[in-house]
Amino acid sequence: MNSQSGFPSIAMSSVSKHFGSQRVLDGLDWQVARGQVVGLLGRNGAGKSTLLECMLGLRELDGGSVAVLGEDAGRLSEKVLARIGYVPQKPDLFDWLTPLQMLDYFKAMYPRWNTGKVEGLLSRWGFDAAMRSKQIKKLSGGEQQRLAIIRALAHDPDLLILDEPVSALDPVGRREFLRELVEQVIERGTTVVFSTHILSDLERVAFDLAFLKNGKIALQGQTDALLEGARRILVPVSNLPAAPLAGEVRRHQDGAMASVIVQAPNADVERLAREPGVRVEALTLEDLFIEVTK
Amino acid sequence: MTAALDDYRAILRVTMVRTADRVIKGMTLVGLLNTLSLVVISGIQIARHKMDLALGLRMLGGIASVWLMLAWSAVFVPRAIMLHSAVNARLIPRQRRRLMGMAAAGWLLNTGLITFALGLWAAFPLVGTAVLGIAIILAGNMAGIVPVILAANWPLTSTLLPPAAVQALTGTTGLLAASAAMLAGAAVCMRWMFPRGGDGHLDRRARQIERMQWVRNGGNWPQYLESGTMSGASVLRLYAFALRRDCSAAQRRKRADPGKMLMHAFGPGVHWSYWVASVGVILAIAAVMRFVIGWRAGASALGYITSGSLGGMVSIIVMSTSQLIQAMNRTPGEQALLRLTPLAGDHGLLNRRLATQILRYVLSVWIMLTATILLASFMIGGSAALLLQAGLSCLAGQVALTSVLGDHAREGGRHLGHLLLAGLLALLEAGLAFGAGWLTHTPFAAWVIAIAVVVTALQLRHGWRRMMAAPPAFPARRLALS
Repeated sequence: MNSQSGFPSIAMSSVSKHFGSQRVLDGLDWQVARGQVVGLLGRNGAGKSTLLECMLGLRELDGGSVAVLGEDAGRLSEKVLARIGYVPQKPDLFDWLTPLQMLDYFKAMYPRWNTGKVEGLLSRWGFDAAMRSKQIKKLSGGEQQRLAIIRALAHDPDLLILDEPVSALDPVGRREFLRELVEQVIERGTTVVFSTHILSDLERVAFDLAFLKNGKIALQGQTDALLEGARRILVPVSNLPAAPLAGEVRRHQDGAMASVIVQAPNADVERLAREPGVRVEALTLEDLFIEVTK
Repeated sequence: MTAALDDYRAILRVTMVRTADRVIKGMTLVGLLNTLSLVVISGIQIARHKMDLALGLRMLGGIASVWLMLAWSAVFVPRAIMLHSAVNARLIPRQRRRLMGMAAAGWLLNTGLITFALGLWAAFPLVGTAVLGIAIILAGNMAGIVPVILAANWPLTSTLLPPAAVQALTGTTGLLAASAAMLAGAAVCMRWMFPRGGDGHLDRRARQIERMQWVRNGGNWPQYLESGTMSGASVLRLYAFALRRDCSAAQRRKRADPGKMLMHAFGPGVHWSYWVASVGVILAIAAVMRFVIGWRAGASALGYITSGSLGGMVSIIVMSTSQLIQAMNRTPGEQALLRLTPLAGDHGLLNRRLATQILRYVLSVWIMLTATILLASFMIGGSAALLLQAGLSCLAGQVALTSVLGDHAREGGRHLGHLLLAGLLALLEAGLAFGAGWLTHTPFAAWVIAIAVVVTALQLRHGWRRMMAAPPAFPARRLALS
């Protein structure tokens, strides 16, 4: 799935972005292959939204370059723009319109518009006649978010960028969205990048995970491989070599003991595990998130 | 006593110092500079026996009253109301009492200072009523406009009353009665501004904050109508009709008009449908003035209205583009989504399409408003001042069109500095026109029109060139943060 031929959907090279003295992205390199589904993780303020906005050319870069579907992100052609779907973090947009007006408006902006899909999603996601004619600002946060997702999916994009798309949805809404994402979007080979804090959703959907920390992608890999392979090694400091272990992600010392996170079991880990006083633990996604982004 | 002082100090710190430090410092600096220059000038004039000490003191009182009025009404009252949430009203002991006391003291002090500056103690109830009305508006209740208009336009209002009633009201007993009524009204208003908490307070809080923000944003009427309140619903219906027409035209032709569609990012307040409604309101007011007030009040009142309408006309035209600027800064999310649509085009095309539409919009609004105001003036019998009004409209238009085109990615439209410069330029133009009229013995207003039109054209050409050379305009102001 990850190694398709041709150029990647997204290629970011040495991307830097700062706001005043605050450096948000710092020489970031990242590639997302066609058809890849990536969950972008990072702590609050890590720069996930900025990264996604730079990716789409909505923010100018201070350094580096971004190519989206083979074109410079700052100068995307109409053809490429028609293949991109985006759900911003703040869903209450065009809030003076009703859902039907907003969807009609966007329909006029795209050469391709899947009316059947829009109608189906509106019906399945509970937009009855009354709700369709209500001002968007009067809808709840969850309803606004569903509407933003419908708008982003309506023109059958080849690249879908979702910035915390489920943060305002209840568990039922999240489950419905994820089902839609898997059945209607991922199955047709759409490239998906989405940031979220709800880790259980990522385990269900994301085939790849990328952790953003200090303005760089600190760790990236397939979800299953990361979950199966990532280990926490609790080892007496005296037994721990000074040089980093193979696949080491993070090292932390607490008194006489040290905690080392590695991406996958390897010879170093096996050797250490045989020594007295050493404990090797598997990690959950939450543990991994905390350890990588701490 | 110490506890009370501590309470007042804490409230002042929260409302005035921490939340509006820069505003207060700026106002204080301007106030002190004004005071200093006034003291020096008055000192010299008093020493030369060309000015009375009392007049000097009154002028100082005037400056102090402007500072206090701004600090109290624009900073203290809104912040105090924000502080007085339904939860705080119930849970923080003494807060409500202290806030009411401080607001009332500020109101009384303001009223006293302004009356002193006017040198007319008979105006005390009128000034108090107007100041109270301003506080009510800033507290998010537009009903405050009524006392402000009635008190500020007393020369006109008084003509509507029977002469005997006017005489009674301006006599000593009448003034005492009016002052007592004003104090009672103030007490009711203070209780309304700082309610006791509970259901009523909770129910109205969100709407009140929304309206206060609207007032603070300089009366961004579209934002108000977007919330579906008052007559907003009918304007929205007209806008919805226009939007439907634009979308269906796009679907028929298989291609939307990119410029028109991009302008929808700014909402219904930056659309011709909004101005159709405004034109209707202006003409309706003129008709009412002509047939009701004119009939009752006679020629002197019509003269008062005509001269008063000059100020109103200038402010309407100057503010006509402020909605565009505010919408530009208020809708970055909408603009980001549009930037990602195929219709936006590459960045050069986006700026060209947007600049064309903005230009078309602001020019047509300017022409429409000028025509409407001239027509309204004509209707209320001010035809003698039509040329002067046209001249002022051109000057006001020049100020309004400042920075509507330019580098929106960085600036997002004009700032206060731009507006001040444009105002200074307009004064300079008026001076030039006056000189030219005096030298050539031709009407001043004709020169104003000619000069303002040329300056506006040059200004727009400069803005157009800057916009074409700038990064994509959408989302506006994104580069200001970098």
